[in-house]
Amino acid sequence: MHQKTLFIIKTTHRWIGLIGGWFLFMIMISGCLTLFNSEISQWMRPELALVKPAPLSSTALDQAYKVWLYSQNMPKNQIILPSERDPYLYVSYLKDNLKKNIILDPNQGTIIPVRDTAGASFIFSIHKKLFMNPSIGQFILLIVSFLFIISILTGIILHFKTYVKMLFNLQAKANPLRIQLNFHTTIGMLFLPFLSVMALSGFLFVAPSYLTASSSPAKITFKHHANIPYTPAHQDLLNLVVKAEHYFNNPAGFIFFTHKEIKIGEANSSYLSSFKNTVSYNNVTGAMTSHTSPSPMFGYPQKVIFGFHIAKAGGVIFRTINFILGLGSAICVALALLYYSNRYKNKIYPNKLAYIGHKTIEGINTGVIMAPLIGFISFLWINRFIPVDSHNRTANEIMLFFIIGSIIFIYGLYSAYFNFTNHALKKLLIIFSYLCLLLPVIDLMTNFTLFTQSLLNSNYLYLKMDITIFVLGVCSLLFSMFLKKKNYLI
Amino acid sequence: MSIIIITLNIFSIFIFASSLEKFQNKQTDQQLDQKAVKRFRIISLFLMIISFILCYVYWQKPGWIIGINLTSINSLIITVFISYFPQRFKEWNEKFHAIFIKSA
Repeated sequence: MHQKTLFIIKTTHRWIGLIGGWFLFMIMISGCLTLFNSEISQWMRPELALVKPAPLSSTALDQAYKVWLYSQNMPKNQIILPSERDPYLYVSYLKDNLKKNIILDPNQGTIIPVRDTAGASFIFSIHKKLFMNPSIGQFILLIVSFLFIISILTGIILHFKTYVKMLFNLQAKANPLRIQLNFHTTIGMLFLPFLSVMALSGFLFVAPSYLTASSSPAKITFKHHANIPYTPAHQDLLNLVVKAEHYFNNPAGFIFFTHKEIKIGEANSSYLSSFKNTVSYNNVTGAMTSHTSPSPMFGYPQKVIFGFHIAKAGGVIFRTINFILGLGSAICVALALLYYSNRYKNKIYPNKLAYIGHKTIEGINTGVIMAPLIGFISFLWINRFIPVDSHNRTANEIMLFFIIGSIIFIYGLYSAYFNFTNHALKKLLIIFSYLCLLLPVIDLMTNFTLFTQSLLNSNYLYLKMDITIFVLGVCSLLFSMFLKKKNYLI
Repeated sequence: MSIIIITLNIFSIFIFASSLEKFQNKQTDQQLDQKAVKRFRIISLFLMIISFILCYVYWQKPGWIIGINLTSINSLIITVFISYFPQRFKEWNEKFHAIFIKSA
């Protein structure tokens, strides 16, 4: 390739990757966690362990409907039906940028008294809009996803030839800097199908709200029903749910109400493409009025990649595989950021400004890698430590998350200015490992009764979550020991 | 079934890696000729297709996507294994070549 073209591609990959990488790491980690949002939310409300999952009853749905009446003026209000993965009945709505839930026993219809927590909807909010105002957060995400796509394309052009040469070979005896780059290239190339689909689907998730005018005709919006004059439903909701399930030939997932209709959505976990399929019934007569399978821009292919992005089908195995790939992709981004930091570490800078500039970038790189990791694990710790009946519990959880994240970020910057970034990284990685290892112990200590009750109710979610966090801690500790032994962080 | 699929997938990648010229054992007389390399690649492809078919049968609609993703993860595992434990890979590779050459 022409040297000048190659230079432009290299520079584009480096700078776009650097700036995009600052956001991408956080987005990837929060995305990985969002794959298990239901499990995390249940874990963060251990009181649910006291309720034995039971089949949905008409009484419970009527109760949910009465509860829903109180939230009808809130945006995104809906009733979420129990599923195999999440066996409780929810009335959910959006408040303060977060999805709030009132949880009901699916059989008795009684409200289950659970602690007030941000749950996984906070993590999802970070993934979806960086916990900002949607118009700003999603605009940043749009730019980041665009930069991500460009980084992938330039990365393929730059590294493809060298990758084919070093296929199945990471050159383990090379210098640490080379190994960092080799890992980055290898993960990038091997995970290319996953990365491409994620980048493209991420872009397409956000783009329609900016690229098209508000004239998308068939699109069913979930923003809706705030301030819609409400007409009471005269129908037996369970009967309608059964009818909808018969129509879908699949379980129903959620119900929401408009002033004339009751809309029931499909919860199909067999097809990636079954995206927001709904069927509507007249509020008074109960007759089916419409059914829809919205195709916002490109129809079927778009629905498939959206389904892929959120791991809609394939059950726990698909989510686990996507989680591993997401984690690998985050490591790929982190290695690129570290490579950038380390490559120019011993460079002689022409002036002080350039030196400070590089040190700031180095500090930001360290901060953006470790702040989300320690922030998210601390978020789970905070959930167990804030008293259950404390006032403003959710707000405090979020505030503490941001305080811890900011401290880590500032520590990252501080370590860069005082030339100990790699030492700081190792230290923070060990702290992260111990936080993971000790969390299950703390969970057992603070909620032992609830934990044993969950096992008696054959609800193994809490056990599985604790084991997963512990295993993550062990892996992280082994990884940090490996880095220390091999002196990979130069 | 998951274990069978993962094993077949890893095995197919392993055979593909062992068919690459740079990993053939050049110190012994076991270096593969072009015919053997071709046979190795066919076996590797065959195993990969079987694992994909099993993915499709077992996990239905997203099965083929799970197959692709699984191949990505397993390739990374094999790459790390070959890079950090080259001696072990060489041993296994030699044994595998020997079995194959004998049976051929």
